[in-house]
Amino acid sequence: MDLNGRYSRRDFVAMTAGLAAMGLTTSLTPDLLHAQAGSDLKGVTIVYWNMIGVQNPIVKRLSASIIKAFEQRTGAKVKTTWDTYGSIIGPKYRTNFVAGKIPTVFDGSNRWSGQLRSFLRPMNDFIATLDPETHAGIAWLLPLVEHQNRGYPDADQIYDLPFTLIPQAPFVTRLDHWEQAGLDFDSNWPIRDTEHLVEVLTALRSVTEYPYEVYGKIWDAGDTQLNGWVRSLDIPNSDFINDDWSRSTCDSDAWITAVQFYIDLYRKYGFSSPNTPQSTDEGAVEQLIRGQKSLVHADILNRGTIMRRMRRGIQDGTIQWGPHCPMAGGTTGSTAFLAMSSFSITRQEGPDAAIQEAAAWEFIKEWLMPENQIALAKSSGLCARRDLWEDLKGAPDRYIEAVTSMLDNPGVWSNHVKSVDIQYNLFAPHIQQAMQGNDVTHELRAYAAEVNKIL
Amino acid sequence: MARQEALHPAHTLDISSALPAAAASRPRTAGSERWLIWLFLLPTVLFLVLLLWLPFLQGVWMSFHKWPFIGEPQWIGLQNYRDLFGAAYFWTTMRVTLLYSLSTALQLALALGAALVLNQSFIRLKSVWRGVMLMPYAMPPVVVGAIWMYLLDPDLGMVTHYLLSWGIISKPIYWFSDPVWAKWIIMLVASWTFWPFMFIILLAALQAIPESYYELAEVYGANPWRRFRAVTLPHIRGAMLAAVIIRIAWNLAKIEQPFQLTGGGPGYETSVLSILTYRFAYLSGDFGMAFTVGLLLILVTFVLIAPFLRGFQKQIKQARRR
Repeated sequence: MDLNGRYSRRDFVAMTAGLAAMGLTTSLTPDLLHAQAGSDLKGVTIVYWNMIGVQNPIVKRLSASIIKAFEQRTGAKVKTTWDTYGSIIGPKYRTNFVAGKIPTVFDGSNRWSGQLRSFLRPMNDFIATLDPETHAGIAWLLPLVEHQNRGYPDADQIYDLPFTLIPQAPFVTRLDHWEQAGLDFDSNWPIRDTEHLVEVLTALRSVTEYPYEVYGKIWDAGDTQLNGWVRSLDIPNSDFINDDWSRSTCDSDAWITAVQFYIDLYRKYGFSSPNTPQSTDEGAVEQLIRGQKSLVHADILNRGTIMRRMRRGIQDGTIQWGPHCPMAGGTTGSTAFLAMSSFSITRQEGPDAAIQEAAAWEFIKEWLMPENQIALAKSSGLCARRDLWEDLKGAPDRYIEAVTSMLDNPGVWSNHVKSVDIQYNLFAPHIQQAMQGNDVTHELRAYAAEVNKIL
Repeated sequence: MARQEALHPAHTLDISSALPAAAASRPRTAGSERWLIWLFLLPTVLFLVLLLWLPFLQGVWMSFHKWPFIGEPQWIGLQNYRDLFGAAYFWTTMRVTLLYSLSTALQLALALGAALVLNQSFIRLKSVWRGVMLMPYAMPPVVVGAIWMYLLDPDLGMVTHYLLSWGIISKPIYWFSDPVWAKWIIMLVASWTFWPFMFIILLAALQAIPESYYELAEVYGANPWRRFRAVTLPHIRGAMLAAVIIRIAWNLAKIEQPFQLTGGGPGYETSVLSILTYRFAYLSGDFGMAFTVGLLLILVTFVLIAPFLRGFQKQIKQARRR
């Protein structure tokens, strides 16, 4: 890099080699860095709060390279603050926004931004200016975003634009454990339904004491495999709250059946460890890598961990991803909820407002470029652009095949102002009580009553 | 008196003539002094009123409102209190809070034992030992929590490893997932972290006891236990009460470690009132409810420290009489 912070070809080669060495065969090229020089934003500075995936050093480095490329392409400056999910789930963003410390653009999950909606700028006008290819690639997500915000009078306004996706939640397994258990992988994969899951786990128990894991920790109990099972039984009641956001759906039969099975995997079948009330998918993936688990549900952000710790397992096909399965008897054809990482632009004021907002939009466009979308898909979730999925298929662990096959009619969680409370704070303690042996129906009714009170 | 006057003849002199006229005028001096006293007190009073009492009163006011973080507050009277008392988790939380406050007793026992040992004349390298004992308290609570999380990890932790290898347990214990163990663990970790605070106070009190008291007790034939009861305990009682009062109040307000170790779970089994306050304030953004819980926490704290405060006041009165 020269004294002005510009990348030379050698710097670029070194950087991409570094990324590739860490598992990212990013297709960022020198041409990309200097191409599309159409936007001149010299002298403009935007403030960016970056949280999605940057806890992973690979993703953080990728993020830095995209920001750098944007700066070089446009001449704008980006002041970046690296952050964590806890900041938007917890008080940090709320407090800062109310205190007037507001970024120009930030990323987060679009089911947590409802609390900040009054600070955001709708992006419909910008989205309409996207090139046809990019627009076509993300257009399928816009109705889902509108559905997430259906309770707001301006639900048709897009305040959060997805750039990567986290379908919840595929299976990930170790093929060597299947061989040790004498299970035929080809005839048993993907898992057909929950009855089949129990059969497979029973066989895998000969290899690992607790081959599977049910997640009880606050951020994973209502965020991983459970909702997909509810959805396979009853689509209208599969989100935590109903269509008009007037009441909880969690006392419905579908919820009771799915949660009972979830708890049974731990208490009745004993597939999940005694740590279940405090366990997470990240912990389960660690155990899978160590050979202490055989088959777990995990969001694809965990692929970064597997890449770092068990690269050979991915390359030789020992690690395999597969789509989530329906509940036995679940006939809706949908088994997944889709979490989305998205960008939001804040409302700007003053004489520079328009140029600031335009710069923020230009920045978002950088992340939607095909090269960056493909690079992101390798470590921080499936890329939002559907038109690029085919290019990503073919990895030995078949993770793209697994997650894309889950995306026919996926569910999306509501972006209610109280969504963090509804999905996490209020839900997890009841699930944990059920894991201690409390009656599932009683706990779900108690939870539904608490949610109804805050709606 | 005559002897005193002989010793200090100046006391008998009228020195008013030697002072400037203004200083010699008593009523005016007293008035100025009073004014000066108030002037010096003013910053503290202002500090307390503006940063403590006004926010506290605002908190009381907020507890009668539905007070979202973003949006307009709405008067709801006693609804927050009704909701809280009607929620099963609140009573679990109260129970856990009271149990958690018992860790103060454990801290006191550890601190007293260590202070008594370190106060013995035959102990060498006292300053080194003092430093070692203060280490847990010198570390940030979050670091201590992280250390214990790793130590107690059922798969990788040293504690589980040794318990298994010594045959004390046959299977790993999942300390943070079991409601009974989780409660004990947060109490033990809190005790381990905070006992040095009491230790240093008690050690200072022990070191202030004149050696001659023990020598006299020994002359009268008092055994060690008797010496402890008759000499040590009365002299450190005030320090003990002060330390207990401070630690109870601080323990109840602590959130880092229980939150870090168990997140308040499983269920609400380790959700002390301070965790509930945090949840309402920062995760739910419901400040009305957060202040309601906060006020109850103050009430609980006051009820728990009241007997010790009374004891402390008695100590002060006795000391004055002496």
